[in-house]
Order: sequence, then C-alpha cells, then structure tokens
Amino acid sequence: MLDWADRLEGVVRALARIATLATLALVLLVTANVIARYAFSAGTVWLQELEWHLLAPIALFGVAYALATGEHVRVDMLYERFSPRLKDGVDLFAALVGIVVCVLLVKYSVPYVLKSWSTLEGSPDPGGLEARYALKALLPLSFTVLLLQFVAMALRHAGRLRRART
Amino acid sequence: MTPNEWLAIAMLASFFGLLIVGVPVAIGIALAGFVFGYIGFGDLLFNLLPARIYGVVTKYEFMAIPLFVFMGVMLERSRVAEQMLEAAGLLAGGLRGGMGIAIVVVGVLLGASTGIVGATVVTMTLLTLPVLIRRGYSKSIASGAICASGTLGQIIPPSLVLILLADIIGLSVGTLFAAAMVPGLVLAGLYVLFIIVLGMVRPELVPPLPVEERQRYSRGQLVAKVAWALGPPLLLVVGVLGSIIGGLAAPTEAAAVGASLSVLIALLYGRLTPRLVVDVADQTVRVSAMIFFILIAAQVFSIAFRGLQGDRLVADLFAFVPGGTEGTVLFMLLILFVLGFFLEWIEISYIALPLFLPVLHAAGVDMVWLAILVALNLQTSFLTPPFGWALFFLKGAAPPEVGTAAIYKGVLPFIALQLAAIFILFLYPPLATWLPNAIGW
Repeated sequence: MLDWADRLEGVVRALARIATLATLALVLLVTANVIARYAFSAGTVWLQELEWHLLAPIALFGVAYALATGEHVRVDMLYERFSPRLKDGVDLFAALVGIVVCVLLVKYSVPYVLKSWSTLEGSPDPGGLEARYALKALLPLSFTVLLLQFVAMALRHAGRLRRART
Repeated sequence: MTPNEWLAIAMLASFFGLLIVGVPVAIGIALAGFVFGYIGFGDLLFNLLPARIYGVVTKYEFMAIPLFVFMGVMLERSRVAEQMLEAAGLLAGGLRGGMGIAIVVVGVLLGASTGIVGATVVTMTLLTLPVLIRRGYSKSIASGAICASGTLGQIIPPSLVLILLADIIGLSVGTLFAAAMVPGLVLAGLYVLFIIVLGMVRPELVPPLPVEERQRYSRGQLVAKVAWALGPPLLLVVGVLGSIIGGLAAPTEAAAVGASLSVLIALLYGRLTPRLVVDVADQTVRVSAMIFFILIAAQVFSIAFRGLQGDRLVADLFAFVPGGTEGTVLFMLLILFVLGFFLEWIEISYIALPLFLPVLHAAGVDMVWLAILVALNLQTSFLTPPFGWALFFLKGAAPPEVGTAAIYKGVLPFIALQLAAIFILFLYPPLATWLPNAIGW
C-alpha cells in the first residue's frame, strides 16, 4: 500500500520536474523569439509553435503536483470552522468527485487523441511541429495521473475518518 | 420556462452550494456541470470537452499566466518587491494608507502590463500581501486593495478584455483603448481617495510607517535608497508596459521579457542562485497549474450552461424589461454582473453580450460608451463574492492565515467604488467618448 503511494508520488514529482523545466524553457524561448524577431527580423514557425507546446505540460502536469502539495483554491468561510472530521468528510467527497471527473475527462479525451493519431495529425502550417497527436495525448495522460492522485487523497481522508471512529 | 432552463438555474444553485461548504472550486464547477449536463442533454455536447481543454492549455494568450507568475515570484523571492514596497512606503512618508496607495499605483502599472486578472492578482498577492500584513495592515483591507488593484488591468489599456470587446462590438482596438483611459484612471483615483479617507477615519487599519523607521535615514540616504529599490523594477514595469502600449510586443512577449528581466534584476541585487531559479520555477508551476485546473473545469460548466440554454434564459428575460433604452442598458449591465459570478469574462463577452447587442444597436446606443460600461462591469464581476475569480486567485497565492471571510469583507468597499464608477460613467458618457474623439480615433 505504502509502496504504491510512494511510486505514485514519484510519478507526480517526475511530471512536476518536466513542468518546471518547461517553465524555464518557456521564459527563455519566448524571450529569445522576441529578440530574434525585433533585433534580427528572424523567426521560424516551429520555434513559435514550440512556445505553446511548452504551455501544455505546465498547465497539465502541474495540477496533480499542486494538489499533492496542498494548493487548493476553495471558499473556506465555513470550511475553516468545521471540525477535523467534517473537513476530512468534505475532502473525501471532493476527492471521490475528482476521481469521477477524471474518469470522464479521460473517457472523452481518449477518442479525441485516437482521432488525431489515426490521421497522424501535425501542424497545419508548413514548417510547423509534427506529431500534434503526441501533444494531445498529454490530456488523457495527465488526467490519469490526476485520477491516481485523487485516489491517494481519497484513501488518506477515508483512513483518517476510519481511525477517528475507532 | 423549459425544464432545461430550470436545470440551468439548479446547476448554478448547486455550484453555489458546493463552494460554500468548501469543495475546491475546480471540483465543484466540474461536478455541477457534469451532473446537470447529463440530466439535461446526456453526453452529446461533452464530446466537445477535449478540444476546448486542448484550446485552454495551448492558448497563446494564456502563456502570459506562467510568465507573469514567474516574474512576480522571482521579484518576491529575491525580495525585490519587498524593497520596492518599503521604498514606496517611505516615500509616502507619514501618510496613513501610504503603502495601500503604493499598491494601487503598482497595481495600475502591473495590471496595465498584463491585462490578465489571474496573473496580475497572483503577482500582486505574492509581491505585496505578506509585506502589508507584517506592516500591521488589516488583512481585509490589504486583500481588498490587492484584488481591486489587480483587476484594474482589465480596464486600463492595454487589456485583453478591451481587445476582445473591440472584436465583438466591431470597433477599433485603438478607440477602445483611448475610451477606457479616463474611466480607468477615475476608478484608480477613487481607490486612492478611499484609502486616504480610510486612513483619516480608521488609521489603525492602514498604519503609516513607524516614525523612527523613517527618521533612520537622512534625506540623501532616503533618495539613494528609493532610487536603488525602485529604479530597476520601475524600469522593468515601464519596459513591459511601454513595449505593449508602443505596439512593439504582444502581452505574452512582454511577459517573457519581463520574466527574463526579473532574473537579471535578482542578479543585479546579488541574490540570484541556481536554487532560487529552481524554487521560483517550482512555485510558478504550482500556482499556474491551479489557475489552469479551474479554467479546465470551467469548460465543463460552460458547455453545460449553454447546452441547457442558459443563454436563452437570459434573452427571454429581456422581453420583460421596462424603462426604454436606459432600462435595457441597466438591465444588461445587471445580467452581465450576475453572469460574472459564474462564467469567465471571455464566455460572457462571446456568448451573452452578442445576445444583447442587436437590441441596443437598434436603439441607437453609443457603442463606445456601452463597451466601456461593459468592460467596467466585467471587471467588477472579478471582485464579487463568492465567485469572483480575483478572490480565488488571491486566496490561492495568499499566506494561509488570510481567510476567505476576511477577503470578502475587504473587497466590499471596492465593489461599491466600482459600482460608483459605473454609475458615474452611465450619467456622464463623455468620460469615455471624449478622448477617442479628441485624438481622432
């Protein structure tokens, strides 16, 4: 059980590393593209496209990591006054809903990626990046990891609730 | 009303309920959207979801979010912002609320350079909230000032809101930028006025810097300190802002240059380490990802809202409005205000606004004036509890001791000021129409 949770944490952290690197790369790349364009009137389509290709991992891979490190955005007007048990109850409910939502997001995004894959979709612009299906595949991949993160959170809160009862 | 319209209303209500009991925003909004969407129309429309999510996570304009967050976190972690605010506070001297006024000014500059509420509020929060609290400011007032100042970017050009509104209404971007200038500054002026008055009436909420701290420095030292602390960051803001206003760079590009410059500034102050860069990037990922998670989950909700013909519900309401043209304008502002609780401004602009435009156009309403009223209104909706996005973004970046109740309380006076500004513009259209006419746009 612990083993499983450790391994998940490893995956979440590894993806977060990728997102961190993508952030640094994004800063450098966009800056470089701006300088290249204004100073040297130079620029290539694929370097421009690479910019928003870097945004996707930042936006998607970071979510599970943010949840794992406790970055919830919520209205805590009542929540902060709840008893620890009720808080665990709300969090358990939220994690279970998160699981269902992720299952649905994976369900809808898999056909979307497969369709892109079947046509080997690339950039519509000449000189653009190939393998757009690979970028789209980040959707189901990251929602699956997020799903596992919600499972881990659900187990944690359920465990606390059970211990509190005995 | 059709059953689906009732479902749309129930969906709004249940989202509200989920939020109130403390379910995280992204989860609550997705749950309400999926449940009522399935009841209303099955899973037909949800097939659109992946394409829309893909659109969100690859949107060129949204690249500015991590970039500006990076800039803000870098300035915060290298204690540049702290220095900057303290210098601004020293400048404002014994004036009560001086730091608060500094925030509004910094907010105008920062907001003007981003035009994106999420990034601006998060940046401002990271930069200023911990400093203000340590200085003895009331958490409420500090939060309110930051949220309000952070949303100023929506009305003070250049802003994404204005660019999209120009597109929707069919006016030139330059016209709207010029039209928004005066109302935006009036609004910022109202904020400053409020903080000054607050300093006179309730000085303990917005304390001035301690006298002994100000007297530690001679006049010459003070000037040097202020120049050293304010100079480089001010150049950064002016550079970022100037390149956008001058038409040199898109907001995203300016954001990247700003992020790079923030690294150079940390280097200049001798605080740049590899560890710092990694930490800044790490925090940038966490903060940005939470914003994107909400944006992604909001797609579920907006698909469901449209699928349930929530927008037609809005159009039907119009048939019952009294009061002629003015009544219709006021009613539209009210509707947009309410929708602003639930929908992203982009969706309000592209879905709801087009419903009203033909009616108003036919009635001969001045479209420039209307556009700025709408822009002010959309900006207000970022602030309105319990669903104002600015509040969520502030909450996400604030130290844990700042509770939601304090934020709500703090933002209320600023909402009143917003409504005052809308009302003033409603009564005096030349505020918006004078400048574009004067410079011949």
